[in-house]
Amino acid sequence: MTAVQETGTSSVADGADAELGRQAKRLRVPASAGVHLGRLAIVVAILVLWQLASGSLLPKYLISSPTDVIHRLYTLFATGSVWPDLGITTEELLLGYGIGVVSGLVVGVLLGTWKLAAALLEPLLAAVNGIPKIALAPLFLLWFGIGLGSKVAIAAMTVFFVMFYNAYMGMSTVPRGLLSTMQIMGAKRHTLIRRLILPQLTVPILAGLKAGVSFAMIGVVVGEFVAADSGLGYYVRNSTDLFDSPGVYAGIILLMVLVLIGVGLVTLLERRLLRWQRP
Amino acid sequence: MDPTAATVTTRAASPAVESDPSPPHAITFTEVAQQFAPRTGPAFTALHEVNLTIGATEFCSIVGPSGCGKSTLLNMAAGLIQPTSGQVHVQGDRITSVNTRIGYVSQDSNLFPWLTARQNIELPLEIKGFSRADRRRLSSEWLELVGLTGFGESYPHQLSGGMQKRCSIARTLVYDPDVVLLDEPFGAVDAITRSVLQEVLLDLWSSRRKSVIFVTHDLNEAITLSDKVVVMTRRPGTIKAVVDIPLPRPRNVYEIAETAEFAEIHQELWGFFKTEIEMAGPPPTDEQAGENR
Repeated sequence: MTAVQETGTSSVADGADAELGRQAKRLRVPASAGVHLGRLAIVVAILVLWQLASGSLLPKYLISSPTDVIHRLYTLFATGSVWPDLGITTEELLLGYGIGVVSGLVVGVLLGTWKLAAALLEPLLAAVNGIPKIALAPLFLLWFGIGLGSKVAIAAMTVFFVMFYNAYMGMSTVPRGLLSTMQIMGAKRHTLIRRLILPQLTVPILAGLKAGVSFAMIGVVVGEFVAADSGLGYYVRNSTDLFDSPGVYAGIILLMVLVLIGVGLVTLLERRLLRWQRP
Repeated sequence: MDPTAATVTTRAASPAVESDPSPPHAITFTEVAQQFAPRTGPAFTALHEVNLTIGATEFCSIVGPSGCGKSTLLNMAAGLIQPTSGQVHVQGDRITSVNTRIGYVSQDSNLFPWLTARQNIELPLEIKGFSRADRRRLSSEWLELVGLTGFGESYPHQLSGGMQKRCSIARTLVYDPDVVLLDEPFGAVDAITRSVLQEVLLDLWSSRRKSVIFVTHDLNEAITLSDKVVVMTRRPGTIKAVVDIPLPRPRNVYEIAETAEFAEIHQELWGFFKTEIEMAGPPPTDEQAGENR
């Protein structure tokens, strides 16, 4: 109602945000050649310590060893036996992630623009989000079966809440001044969403996309742990049951690589979308 | 000083304007009042009994102490807020929702940070359905008019404050609105940039003759630019005086303040302005008067 005053405060907040952004940029350590070398050295040191500790400080069946794990990875790829598991987990990850991202974004923007719906649904969503998703895994297995469906459902639900809250909270950061500027230009609802709200949400959406990758993977792996007949999570669990520690570590490394690839792709997207922010 | 000097017409006390406002009055405020009820703190009256008409090609400035409701008047003309009572007409139409036929330059430049200067200028054209070729042609034209040639592909954060203002003005005028509202557009820029921007604005206005409401704290700025200056009282704001500015045009924004007529008008205007500030707090010196904010 007090348009004048609110315009004033929003501009102050914008200024503070921009200042925080600048500070964050200054704090980010530049990755020089020395830093890259240092990072490599740390990884190498850990691998060497791991190799040395294996079988001497700690029994091999607990921590395996880098050489055994590398050998196992080589065998998995050389024989091609990894592909069915890798394939199914990737598929579950992509489907769960995609469904979660799109639905979270749509519901977040919808509730952000539609106050009544937000007032009605927000408590319910908060309550559901309060449930540890892992606790729902057995239920989802019951509903969606032992195959792909249950894993996709768990991953999608986990990602949904990450995206939903990022988009929904992001909506409140839309500066009133930009909103009225666009309304005066004659923008209708869909134009406002496309040209103002979505760009304004770029930063929280990208944060959600990034966090969503590992959340999706947690969902998939939990599903595969509970009940599955294929997938990398199943492979890890199965290897554990067999005291096959190289298999456990190889599986974990493959899961990690999948997440890193996903995060890397989001980072590429981020660089493209946030060109306007770069100094 | 005599507040009833010849150049002064005090219209605040006159009865409401014609019930059917039609051109040449581009903007009319009729018995406008505004109460605000903030969530924290008591309700208050921001404006009351505002009657004001602005002609179709008139440049009108509104000056007054902080919080007197100057910006509220603009927001009413823009349809961003509705008066608690009274009516606002723009070009004969009563304003009851967001007014998409006006141009509005706000205190903040309000440029879209993810769009380049050119994309910002093209955005209203895109919304209004101009073809790609027309958008391109008009944005190039306006980048040049406001002296931003070569900066079309820069993002707002790469532009200085003055350049952002110019881009904001270009974006507002590019779709040729008949009524332009400016809310302290030059408040945050340095004195020299401000003069340059005033010159840009006056040049554009002279060649296009819009109906303009220009809200400012700066008496000098108001006199330099305007056909008439509206002085508002402190809150609850109402119109204290409407002062015509008979200075000849075209005006030289850099030198006009040195003329005797300017000084005379300034003194009269300051007479009205001063009492409002004195009531609100300790009186500023004459030096500060122009820059009061």
